[in-house]
Amino acid sequence: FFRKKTLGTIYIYIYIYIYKVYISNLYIWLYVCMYMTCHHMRACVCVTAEYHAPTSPPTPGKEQEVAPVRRSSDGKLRGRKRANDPVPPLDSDIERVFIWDLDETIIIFHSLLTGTFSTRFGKDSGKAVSLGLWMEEMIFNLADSRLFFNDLEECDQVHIDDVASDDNGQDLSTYNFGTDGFQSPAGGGTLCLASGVHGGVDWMRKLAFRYRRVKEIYNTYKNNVGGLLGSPKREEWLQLRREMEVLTDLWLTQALKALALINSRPNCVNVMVTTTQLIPALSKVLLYGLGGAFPIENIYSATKTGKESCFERVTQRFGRRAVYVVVGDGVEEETVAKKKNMPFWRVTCRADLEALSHALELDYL
Amino acid sequence: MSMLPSFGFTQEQVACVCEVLQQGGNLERLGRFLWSLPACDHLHKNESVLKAKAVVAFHRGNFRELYKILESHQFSPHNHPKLQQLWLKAHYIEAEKLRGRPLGAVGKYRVRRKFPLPRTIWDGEETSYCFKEKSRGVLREWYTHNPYPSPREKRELAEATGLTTTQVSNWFKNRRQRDRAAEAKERENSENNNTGANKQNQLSPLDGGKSLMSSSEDEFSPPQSPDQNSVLLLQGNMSHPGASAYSMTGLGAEQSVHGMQGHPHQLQDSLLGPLTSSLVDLGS
Repeated sequence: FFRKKTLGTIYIYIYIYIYKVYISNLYIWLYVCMYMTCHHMRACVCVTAEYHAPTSPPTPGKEQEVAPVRRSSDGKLRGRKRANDPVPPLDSDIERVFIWDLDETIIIFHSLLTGTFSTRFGKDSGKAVSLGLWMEEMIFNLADSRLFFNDLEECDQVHIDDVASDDNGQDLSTYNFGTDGFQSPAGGGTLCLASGVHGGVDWMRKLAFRYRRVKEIYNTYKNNVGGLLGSPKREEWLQLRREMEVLTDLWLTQALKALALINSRPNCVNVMVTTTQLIPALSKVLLYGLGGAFPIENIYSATKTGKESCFERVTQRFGRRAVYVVVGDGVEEETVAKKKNMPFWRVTCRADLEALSHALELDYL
Repeated sequence: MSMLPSFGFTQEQVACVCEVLQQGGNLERLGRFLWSLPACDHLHKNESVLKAKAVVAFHRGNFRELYKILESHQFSPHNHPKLQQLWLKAHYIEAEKLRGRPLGAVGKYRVRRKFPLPRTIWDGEETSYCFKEKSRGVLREWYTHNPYPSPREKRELAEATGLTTTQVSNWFKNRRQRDRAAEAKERENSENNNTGANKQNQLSPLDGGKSLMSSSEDEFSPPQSPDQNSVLLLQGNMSHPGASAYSMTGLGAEQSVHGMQGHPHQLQDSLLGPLTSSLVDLGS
């Protein structure tokens, strides 16, 4: 009698176990299907440096809803891992924050136009300038056409969420930005002063809508810039990127490698603090294929307040426990880094980026 | 492929890595990194690298190595606090090991006296006093005019220095006591030595609220005869004359020449006799 009962219970346990495994597999399969359809990778830009996160096991925070998954099928989700997990680690859990400068550290842009790049590295200056101009045109074109730069040029913000408090959260899918009266004088005293943005509540709300839309666009197209540009711009852009990589000896590729290494670690983040205005900076980030490396919330523009105050914001955000590493090429970031006792990694040539990747690979940083 | 682990990192980059790992507290990785560095002299003289080595040595309990590093290279002021802490902590731990019990405040004080901070990580200027320099200055100034302030004056002084009246009273009381003790020893030693030109023990600028011993003036004119020119800072083991010119009560007579770095120990044979008696006092 006793034995029968135990045998019965054992059978039940086995049955439940198998059932669980089956269900969990089902969940994974569904999840992967949903995940993949969300990211239509039409533009396969593997030749020019597109951001691909290195394959890594899913972070623990990810599958809280499907707990049994981790036991059986970690391998299934390795393929298409992106840096921005659905459940990213908390800011306070971060141990290393890499604060990157944008221009001339990750991307080569301004020095192409001024000729310093070609002089320094012995490149064809005419070519450099022409590529620079071409990129500049694309940057501002994108900024004006899709990122409301015309509207927002005078109302520059430090961070994409800075005006979010004026947002009312309404649905923007049918909203017409062109005719909402933001620009017109009747729209309500639109003077953006350095001290803050002034204008009626109505106007502030419209401003917030724009920044929200920019955020949406960024998040939708950051891994699919070609889709944002559409043909024929997309092909032009691909060609431009190819030529730039050739001219700069794969500078950007090297930078992306380091960025990817950092993003692959759950306790490290990449933050950008740039002296470009926010909207053009976002445009640059997208056009240089950096969208996957930097979540939009990690991008700060120092034009209004200066680098020191941005660094301060970053330290406030991630706390004192984290170690901050400043990566840049200029005197300004170096000075601020020294002042705040942050280690500084200087980038003056591609080898410096290589060394950085190397240090990351060897787990020295 | 045999690639050198430290693959052509510039000195600046090496320093950066050292800093990052130190700040992050990743001392095992730091140790591994340091070990992988090429044996380039110039690199190993870099201050960040030395600081990292010191931290790793401390972490591993390799105190001899730590002391060696701290003493052999001059460090820039902004690193002093951290390195001083390392030095002191290491000595405390060693003392505690000898003692077998944790060290109290007095024990730590004795350790600090026994192993004063080397000048490579200390500018010799400040020691940690309880009262601010300004307050001590005010009190000292007052003392020279009148060593016995009235209660009202004490209250005024308390206000001027930002201390309480009790603290002021205690400061004066201790000061008087120490002066008296120093003076007594002075006289006793001068009788012993039978020398003419004994300097009057003036108040040292280093005197502080917590000083247990009498101290003699740092910068008085050099003694008359070479016989008196003995630097005796025997504090158990031999220690650096570069430390502040505290002298033990038993040795009050010995005039410490102002502690210049590298001043040679000169035990004059002629003074060994009276010295042994002082040392006996010290031992008790």
